[in-house]
Amino acid sequence: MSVSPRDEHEQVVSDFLAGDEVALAEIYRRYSPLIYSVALRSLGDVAEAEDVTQKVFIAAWTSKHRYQPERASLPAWLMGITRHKIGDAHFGSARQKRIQSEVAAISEPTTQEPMDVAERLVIADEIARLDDVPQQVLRLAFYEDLTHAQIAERMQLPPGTVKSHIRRSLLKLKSRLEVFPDAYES
Amino acid sequence: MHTNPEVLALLALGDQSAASQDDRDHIGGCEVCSAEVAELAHLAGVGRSTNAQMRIETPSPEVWRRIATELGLEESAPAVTPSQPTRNDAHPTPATIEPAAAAPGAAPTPIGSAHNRRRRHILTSAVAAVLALIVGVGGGIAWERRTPPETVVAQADLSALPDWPGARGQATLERDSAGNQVLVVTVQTARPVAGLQEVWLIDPSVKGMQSIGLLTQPTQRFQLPAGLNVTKFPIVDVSAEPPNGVPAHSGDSIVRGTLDL
Repeated sequence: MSVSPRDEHEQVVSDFLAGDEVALAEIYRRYSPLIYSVALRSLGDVAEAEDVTQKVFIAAWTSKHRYQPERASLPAWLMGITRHKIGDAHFGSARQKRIQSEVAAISEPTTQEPMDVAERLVIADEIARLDDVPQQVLRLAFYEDLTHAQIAERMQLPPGTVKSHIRRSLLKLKSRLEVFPDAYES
Repeated sequence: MHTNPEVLALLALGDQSAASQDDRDHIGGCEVCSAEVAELAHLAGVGRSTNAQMRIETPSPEVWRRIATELGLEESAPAVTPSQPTRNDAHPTPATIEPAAAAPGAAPTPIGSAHNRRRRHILTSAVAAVLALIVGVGGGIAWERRTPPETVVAQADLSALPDWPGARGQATLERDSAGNQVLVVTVQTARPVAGLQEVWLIDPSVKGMQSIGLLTQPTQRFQLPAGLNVTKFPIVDVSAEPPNGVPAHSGDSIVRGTLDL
């Protein structure tokens, strides 16, 4: 019996809400990389990012009775919790001491909104997953500001193919982000 | 008749050469098309602000172990390894769920929307075989069944009391191979419980009762005292108790049900 990815995901969410520990493990498997990476970029420290990740999943488990599916998707809800935990970490006393006693690193951790960081990570990840040709088309459009005709010439492709790649790739980015609607207050 | 979607995509990227004057006239007056351009332009903006070094990384396996320890998860749940993103992964990717058939412009159904959720029988090691999660190569999942040595003796659905709308629970009475009686209780509340939750077994006349213990996790196993005759106390009750050290039942029951002995 084959189950579509969407149905399978709905089942995992439903099981999670019913208290199924195995579903929690599956949700950790799927979402911990993004949550960890957002925390890592925000805090600039592996141990703190690991701590945030741990706190997010524990909070998700113990407050899952407060999750309302009609308000936000599960990933959006998790990101809302992540935002809070990152905020707590920024003000943690251990962190303040560490920053005071260290020479500031050359690359400062970002103070950007975690949702924005998450959005950028997801988009960057989706771009990296595109097949080689559409990926190259998109990178040329993004970073070198070429028109579709210029891209077509550079890559020796028909202009129609370039247009089609651009549209389909942007739609992939859009559908990937659809799981992050407005920020959700947990 | 709306503008060709490919033209919208190119305009969103700032490629002015893609649109004719007619196109621009239409878009200027069309909410649907101008919204599409705006949305794609936002995506392009985000894309432009990323670089090839931005990567989604996986946390060390130690993080999951700490979570499992703190939540007291079943020891049978092995260390979880988050899947590494792979190119063209057919499985749902980390941080996203792709629509089953990605028709452009199709609106995905909300995940877990109310009309799709069915009340699901809660898994406990007694009611169903224990499922062990094994993460296979490439992020696939294989489910392994293990049959436990316990036998289920009785079961009860726990219904909410009027002060606790939306609460629900379940209780299962098991007998293990050593002859011990174990009560497995699961409770879910719609709002947080101030104070503690306590599990009781109560006699049918609701006069005599026995405290079984405090519920500190969503699902918890309680080994019953050896001399306790559950047929005399078949009502399972979970109460909200203020942490004041008073051992008597507070009177504030959250859920209650009767074991089908």
